[in-house]
Amino acid sequence: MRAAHPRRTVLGLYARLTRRGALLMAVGIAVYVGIEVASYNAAYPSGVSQAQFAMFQDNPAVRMMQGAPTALDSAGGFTVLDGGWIIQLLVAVWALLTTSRLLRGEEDVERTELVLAGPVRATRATALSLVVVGAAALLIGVAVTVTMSASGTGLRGSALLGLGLAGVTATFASVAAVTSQLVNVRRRAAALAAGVLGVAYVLRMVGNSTDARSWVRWTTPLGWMDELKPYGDADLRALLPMLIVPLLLAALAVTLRARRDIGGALLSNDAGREPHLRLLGSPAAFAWRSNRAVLLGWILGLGAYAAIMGALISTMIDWLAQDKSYQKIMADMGLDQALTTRGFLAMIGVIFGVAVALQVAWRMGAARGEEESGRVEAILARPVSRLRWLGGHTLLSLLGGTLLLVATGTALWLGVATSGSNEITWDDAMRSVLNTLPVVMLIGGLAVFSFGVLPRLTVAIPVTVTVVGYVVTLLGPALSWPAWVLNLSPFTHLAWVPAVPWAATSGIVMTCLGLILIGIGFLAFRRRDVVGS
Amino acid sequence: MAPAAIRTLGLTKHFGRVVALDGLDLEVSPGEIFGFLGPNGAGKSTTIRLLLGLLRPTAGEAWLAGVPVSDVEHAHRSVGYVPGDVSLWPQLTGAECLELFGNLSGGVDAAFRDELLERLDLDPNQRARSYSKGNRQKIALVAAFMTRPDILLLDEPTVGLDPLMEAEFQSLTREAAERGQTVFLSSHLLDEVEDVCHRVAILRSGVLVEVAALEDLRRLTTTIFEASLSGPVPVFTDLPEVVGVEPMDGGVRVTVSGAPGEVLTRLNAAGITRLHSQAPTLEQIFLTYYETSSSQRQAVAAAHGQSGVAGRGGDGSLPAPRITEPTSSSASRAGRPGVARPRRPLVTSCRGSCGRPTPAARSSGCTPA
Repeated sequence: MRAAHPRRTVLGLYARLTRRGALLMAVGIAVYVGIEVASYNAAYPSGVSQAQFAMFQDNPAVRMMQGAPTALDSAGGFTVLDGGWIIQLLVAVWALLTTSRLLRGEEDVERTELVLAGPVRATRATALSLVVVGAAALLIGVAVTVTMSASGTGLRGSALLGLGLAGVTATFASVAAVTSQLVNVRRRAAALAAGVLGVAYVLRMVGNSTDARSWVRWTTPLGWMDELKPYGDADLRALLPMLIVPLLLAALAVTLRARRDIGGALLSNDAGREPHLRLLGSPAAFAWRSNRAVLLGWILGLGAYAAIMGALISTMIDWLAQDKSYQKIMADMGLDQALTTRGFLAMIGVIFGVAVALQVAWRMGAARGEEESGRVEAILARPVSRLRWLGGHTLLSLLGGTLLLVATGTALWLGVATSGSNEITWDDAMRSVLNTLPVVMLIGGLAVFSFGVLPRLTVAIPVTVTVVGYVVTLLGPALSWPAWVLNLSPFTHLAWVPAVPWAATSGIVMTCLGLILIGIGFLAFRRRDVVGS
Repeated sequence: MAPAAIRTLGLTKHFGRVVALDGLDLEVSPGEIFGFLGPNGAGKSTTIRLLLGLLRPTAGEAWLAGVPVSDVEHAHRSVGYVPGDVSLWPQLTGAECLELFGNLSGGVDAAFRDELLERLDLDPNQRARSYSKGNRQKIALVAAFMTRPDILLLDEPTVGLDPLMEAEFQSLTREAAERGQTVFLSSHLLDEVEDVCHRVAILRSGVLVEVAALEDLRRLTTTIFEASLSGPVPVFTDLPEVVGVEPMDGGVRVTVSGAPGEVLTRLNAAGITRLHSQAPTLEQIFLTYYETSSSQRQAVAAAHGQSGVAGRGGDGSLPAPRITEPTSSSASRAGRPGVARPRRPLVTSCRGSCGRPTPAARSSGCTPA
């Protein structure tokens, strides 16, 4: 008989549940920083001049969005400034999603109790899952360190950057570990942790707005990297909070775990309540009721981001007009049109298009979630045809995406208006985001198609196509990829609206393709089995 | 003539290379309580999910109240369903789930719904995520019964219910049948269907082994007499109806298949101090059935033919019997007096001794002398 190794087994289980996502994340981030170094070397072969440096330094928009520039005369310093902020957001979001899945999602579906029925304490299992996420954070850090030092940016700076990113990852993992003890249902735990991330980002913007407020950066995990300055005059003190805060929060999470029951939460109240009977009348009404909160979250989040972008447009344009080297990067990437106000508007319109396409894909993932959990059977066992059910979800996904685009366009225009600029009308802002509607239709169609044909990949296929497609349009021109590769990306076929008129033909073709994919998805879903997880 | 409540014709389902259901022919009449028995993985849930159109058949057809099951908008108007594993929306309360289900199905009898909630002792104002398995099951039961559908498809509906609630469920089922509703009840527990069903079907590894009216099965099968005797144990070897004899403390346990008159005469002559007779449980019926000779099996099949039941048994094509007790004698164990019979699945454990009449089974007297 084999001896029992409960701890090792539990550790192995959580490692198994995490490893694929962690590897994808590590590879993805490594590729990202590699690209940053390559584009710096292409644009500034002889380094950044003092004048250029001062320009970065003085630009409030850059400082608030991306951070205070340091060591811009090196590829490493440029990478930290240009990509550091988005990479920090990516790893933070990944960390909080992964941690809340391990610590709350597994419990929601009553799998954790099977583990805890073994000879392992709940607090120990919590600690072990945090060990796994911590190891994943280190893996991401190591991947960045290896890539950066292999790109010739220097081992010391690369190691500090890797450590810093690992620290941010671990910090937000531990934040999610605490929120997972406070509230039940994974979605709420993740949303609460995402709220903390949002506050951290705003604090960082405040801290970076002027030198006088730079102390604020110490209060936010996203500001510690600005203090660390991996490739500049490194302040190693910034590593301390990155180490201590995750450990403290992890210890807090384990302590809190000991104070609650399985399935329970410290803040949630599951006491009975009077029924709310609205929006329970039809499958579509119910689908709206179930998903409207998430859509509202997207509207608020993307709207806030659009408003900030809108407010910064004119500053960005003025700044770009002075930097010949940056203009060269933009030209190499095929983005030279973005150097005008309306061109810039077109470029950020596409960014919002990417976000909304991803949202539509995830929204169809919610329909798949209904199937995966077996709940859809309770609906389809009643006189509801599959087409009526899927049709409702499809329609709501696409309408939700459209609504999100309109809200984003409005917020963008509001941002522009508050900055005192009258260069952009509401009509321009709206056209720049609605320009991407055919891509949203196409990606939505792809999600429905995947749901019908390969239901387990309902989200994976459209999200991959969206991300890869966008990366192709970003990198392809700079790397002189052949036209047919570029044409594979749906984003290649979008015109620079409102700088130029709408590309009607490709828009109509993509919309029709989306509708055809929806049709195929519907037929395939009608013919296949309803399959759970 | 009204169409059959449930009818399947050659219904077959493959999952990749696994044959989950193989050529099921079944006909359930309106108003019938039909038990659908089989061990885990036999294909019971697959059948119900095919009937609901949730799975697409590899071959064959099925109808609910004469409507093809693929036409769910019509077929499901007359159907209530309780799944084996009830998943509800964690954020909704029980009442909200019921409102949703009622709106989708239509025709909710609100007074009856409230009565059901009361009879099943369920608080509908809790969130679904705080419901236990049993309470989720109750929500599904209320949802299935509250529209008074013509056909109730119940997939192991009492799993998770306590005995009190199980009794309540059984009376609900009987009331439904009295009103003319058809109940299709899948289970792996014999005594669950035994108590309420008119007819039972047995499914094993995707193949329909047997369909029979409970009455027919009982008539065909055995009665066990346990007699405490003051005199010596009489000899029964010359009686063909005696299929098993087993000594017990101060008496004898005799298993009789057929008229018991002569056995009772001989026991009486030996001086009965105490007599206990036991009608066989379904489990015993089937165990006996599978361990009888082929001639007896044919007699059983003939009797089924008379009762007009579609079945796959009868000739030599009957699948090899696998339902057997691995260790001790089945008859002696099941027939032990005074011992509360534990709920036992149809196939308790058949590793190793599958399909082969074990020496133990032979010596126990289950096989005819």
